Amino acid sequence: MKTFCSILLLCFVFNNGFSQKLKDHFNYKVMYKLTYQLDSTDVDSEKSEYMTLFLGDDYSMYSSRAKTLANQVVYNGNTAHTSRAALTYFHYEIIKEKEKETRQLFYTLKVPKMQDHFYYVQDKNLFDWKVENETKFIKEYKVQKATTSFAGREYVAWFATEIPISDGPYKFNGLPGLILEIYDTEKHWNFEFFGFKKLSPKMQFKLNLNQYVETTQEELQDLWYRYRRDPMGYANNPNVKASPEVKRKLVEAFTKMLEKENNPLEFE
Amino acid sequence: MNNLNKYSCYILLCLLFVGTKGYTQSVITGKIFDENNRELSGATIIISTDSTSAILAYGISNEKGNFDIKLNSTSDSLFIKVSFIGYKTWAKTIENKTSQLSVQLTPSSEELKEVLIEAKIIEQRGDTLSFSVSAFKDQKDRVIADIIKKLPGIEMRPGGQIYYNGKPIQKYYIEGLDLLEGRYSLANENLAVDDVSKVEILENHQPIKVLDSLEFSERASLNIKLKKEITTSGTAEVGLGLAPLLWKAKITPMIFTKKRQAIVTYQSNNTGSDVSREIRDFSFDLSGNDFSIDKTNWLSIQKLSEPPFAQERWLDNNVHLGSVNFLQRIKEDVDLKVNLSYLNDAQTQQGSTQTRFFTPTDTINLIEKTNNDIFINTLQSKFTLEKNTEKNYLKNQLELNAFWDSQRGLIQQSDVTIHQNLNNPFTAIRNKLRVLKTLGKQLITFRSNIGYTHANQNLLVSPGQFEGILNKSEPYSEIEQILKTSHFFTNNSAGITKGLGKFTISPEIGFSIEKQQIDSDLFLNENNQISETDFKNRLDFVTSNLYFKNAFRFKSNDETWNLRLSTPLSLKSFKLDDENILVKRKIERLVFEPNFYVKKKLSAFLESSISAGLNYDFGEVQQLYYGFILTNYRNLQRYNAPIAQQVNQKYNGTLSYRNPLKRLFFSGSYSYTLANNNLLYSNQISENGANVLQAIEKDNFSNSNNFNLNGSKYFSKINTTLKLSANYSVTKREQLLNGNFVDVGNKNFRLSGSLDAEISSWLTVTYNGIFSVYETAFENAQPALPTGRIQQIKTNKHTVDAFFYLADNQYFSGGGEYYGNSLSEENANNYFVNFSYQYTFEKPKIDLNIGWNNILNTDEFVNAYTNEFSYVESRYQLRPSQVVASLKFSF
Repeated sequence: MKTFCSILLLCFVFNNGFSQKLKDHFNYKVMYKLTYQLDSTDVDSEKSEYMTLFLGDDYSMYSSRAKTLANQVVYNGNTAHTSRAALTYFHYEIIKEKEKETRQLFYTLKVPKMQDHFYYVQDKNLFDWKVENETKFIKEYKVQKATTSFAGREYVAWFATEIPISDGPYKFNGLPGLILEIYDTEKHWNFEFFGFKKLSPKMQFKLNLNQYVETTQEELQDLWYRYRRDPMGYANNPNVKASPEVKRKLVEAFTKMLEKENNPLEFE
Repeated sequence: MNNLNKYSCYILLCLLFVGTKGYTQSVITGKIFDENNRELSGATIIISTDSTSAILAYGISNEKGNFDIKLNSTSDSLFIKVSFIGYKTWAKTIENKTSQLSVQLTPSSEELKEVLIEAKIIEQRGDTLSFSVSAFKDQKDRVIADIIKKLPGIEMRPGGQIYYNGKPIQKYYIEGLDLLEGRYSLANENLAVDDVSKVEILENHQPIKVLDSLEFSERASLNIKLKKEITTSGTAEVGLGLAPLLWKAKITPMIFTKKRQAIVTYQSNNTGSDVSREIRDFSFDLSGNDFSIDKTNWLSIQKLSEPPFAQERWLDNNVHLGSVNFLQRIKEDVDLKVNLSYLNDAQTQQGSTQTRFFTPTDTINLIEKTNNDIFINTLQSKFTLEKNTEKNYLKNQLELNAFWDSQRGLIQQSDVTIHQNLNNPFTAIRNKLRVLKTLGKQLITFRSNIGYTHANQNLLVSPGQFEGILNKSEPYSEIEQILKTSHFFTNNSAGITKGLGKFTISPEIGFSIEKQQIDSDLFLNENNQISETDFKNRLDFVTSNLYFKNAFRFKSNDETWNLRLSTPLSLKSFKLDDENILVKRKIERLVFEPNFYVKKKLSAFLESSISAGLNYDFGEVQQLYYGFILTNYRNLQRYNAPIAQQVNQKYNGTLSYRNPLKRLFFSGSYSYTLANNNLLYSNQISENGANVLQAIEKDNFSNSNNFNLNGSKYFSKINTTLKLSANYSVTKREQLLNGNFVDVGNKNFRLSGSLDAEISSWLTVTYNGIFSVYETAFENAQPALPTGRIQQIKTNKHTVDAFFYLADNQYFSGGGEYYGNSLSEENANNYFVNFSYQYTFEKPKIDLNIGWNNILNTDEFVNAYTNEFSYVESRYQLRPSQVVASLKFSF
């Protein structure tokens, strides 16, 4: 018993070494409205959600606005926070490094209502942009067209050189200005510009990757599918006992639902 | 490859062909500095032919501030522009030839243009998750519960309670009205699917409007959206079976309008089905300082221990249940609710019990054949007025419950037949008031509970027992115990909750008063009252409690730390009077009962938590009376001792490992509890098994050590989850048995395992097994007596179930169960086999279910268990093999 206690105590005291911690202060917030169609055969399956991109000196973070709402940290100072945390289809956060030697992109995912955090690392230079001559205005910003192909889709992006930040929604980046609008040629995934705001005071950002399980894109996709197909089975709560009949119905219903989600952003 | 990649990373390339003439390739390189000559990374460099034309090429400065742009252009000159946030844009026209630049940027006070977001749209918060019923419906679904259990994150426990993401739901609304409060099973299991358009899950739902933006709610609620403005709906079920003749019937009509809702149900069966399931109350009160108005049975007939499996296989009943639930919206935000239910049940129990009492000096054997009739007659009512506006909140709930229960028991011992007759009525009334009010900038919660319960119970036993104590060792014909009790209570408190960043504090102050009375008398041979004060009680027990509670919580941003500390301080006073005994007992104590919990996430896979707590228990009136009470025919009980005081210390440590990628989970925990008690309870067991319990004053300790290990692994190739868990506990305590001090030690080891396999899309198989060893050892304090006696019992339970999905509209399930124990001399092994088959007719929509229970016709179940001073082997007569066919439909 004493040994057990001392091990526990030791665990509490010494576990802060060798950590990979990302730290920054975000200066700007960009809002996008994402309209997406999960079932390519059904136009009515179109949904939309607000997404945010936070920009700092060393990192940027892209996630669903609902997630930042639910996360009290973002609403620092507002202790009487909302009782209605918003809901989202997008549970991931994408963190891009600025011009560091490594130029990495971290795709992080927290399984909803669970303590499980995952991430995978990618080189952020994923895009071969072709800048075109066409320009237009989005709100008061003059934007220029660029095209690229990514993960099985052709994209059209509009970037504003007057915001000299080489970033954009989702994993998109690498243009000489902020991407304000980007959509694939079938308009199944359409990010529209919704606002640009300076944050005052700056928003603190801290992420301890030590608390996250490192994995690969494929593995994470499998795991996410597994979770969505059978959330209760995934949670593996010993108190939860569904009868096999109910469980089968559940998995069937989820599988059917997931079959309709045949049109993910990253197609290949 | 990597290098090449890196190279191309640093240099972003863009080729543009302008015109048809030949072109020249030039490379523009350079370095960018800030005003302090520090390298600036992340600056954008854009090259065009002039200040207004399109982009020819661009680059971004790397971590050293360097850039490197290749371009092909026919133009003679190039316009180059360097920008960085917070700096003035630098621009220059240069010659179109390979060149190297050094650019120094100067800070700018000019802000970037902001586009402010339309606040209205953005602040609107998506709080509802709405599921269209048609999307989830298949032809087997009849009532709304069939849909709800399929929704993501929803889980329905076997009792019918609904959980969302592992937490019980808070409210079950129908069209935004909370008709049934916690008894939502009634609607859930009877509202026809076809009347419902949507099920909404309100995540993080705060049902009290005043609290909406003040208090974060982690719980969810459900709202059922109906298709029509005025809906009448319901379900009905009828079933018949053999043998003997079995029936079951159920009809549940309901009506819903915008301002008025009603659900009525009548149910009846003799198949052993539990009808109270649908009117079970799942509401919860978080305040935790509520007095119970549950029925207290002071006296009882000798019962049999119930088998540990579905009551359909053993309960011999004849039950009728009627329930009316009504809601009226009086005006906006004010609801009046009435819930009434009446239950009538006649149950019979048959079986036998063999009890062996072990005392340090002797072994006493007792065999009883038991035949019991139990009559239950219960009326429960609840009247609720709720006002829920954005400014204030009021909820007043009045409950009135009455029980007119009686029991008859017949016990045959080897040479004597004992009749027992029990009347155990009980009435209770309680009013609960909760008000939320703003006072200045604070929101204060007031609670006030007040209630009264009353019982006038009597137990008649013939022939009379305890001749030695009660009738100078002469046999006599009957003994009657009469007992009247009353209990008045009130509890009033005020509290606030305040959040300060990551900390939350919630202080609360209040007081409670309780007054309890017991009047008991013992009669021999009709009206011959025993006048000795040892067999009477005229007890008056008053307790009061003035308390100040404070809870403190902390949660770190990244959820790695989670801390909770509660520090309740209370001034308790206890006063006990009994006119017959002329003793007055009084205690006044100031107690501090801290409780601490900390959880830390150590890494992505590991988590640990520690908790510690101290609390005090003081005697309850059930353990304070001075005169003997005959609680059942062979138990004469009193506590002729001071008010019990027990100090408990609890410690727990847990370490868990969770690898979701490999689907491997482990956790281990250890807990230790130590209790210090001022009383020791003494059992005096006589030849015929009659037990006299008394309490004596002696400081004593008891402790327990508990070890737990759990593990689970999913094997994806064979779609199977394996779970194993082991538990070992050791407890030690002192006991007084027939006048001797003994140390009683219990050791309990339990191993359980389960397998869940989805063998194919039409077959799933589950297995559950439990093996346990329970050991009791006595160590005598007096060396003259024989010591070290050990009593051991091993029990085994294994169940296998298989489900076959024959087609979309039919399924078949079969299962086998085994129960065994090492103690029984005969029938130590019990086997059961059950089948069930369901077919769904499409038109009209009717479910036909045929169930065949107890196919092997096992006629009794043997259950054996031991405690400190006895072991009991109980035989319960089961329902015979029977087949029931039932039809279920909605209207």
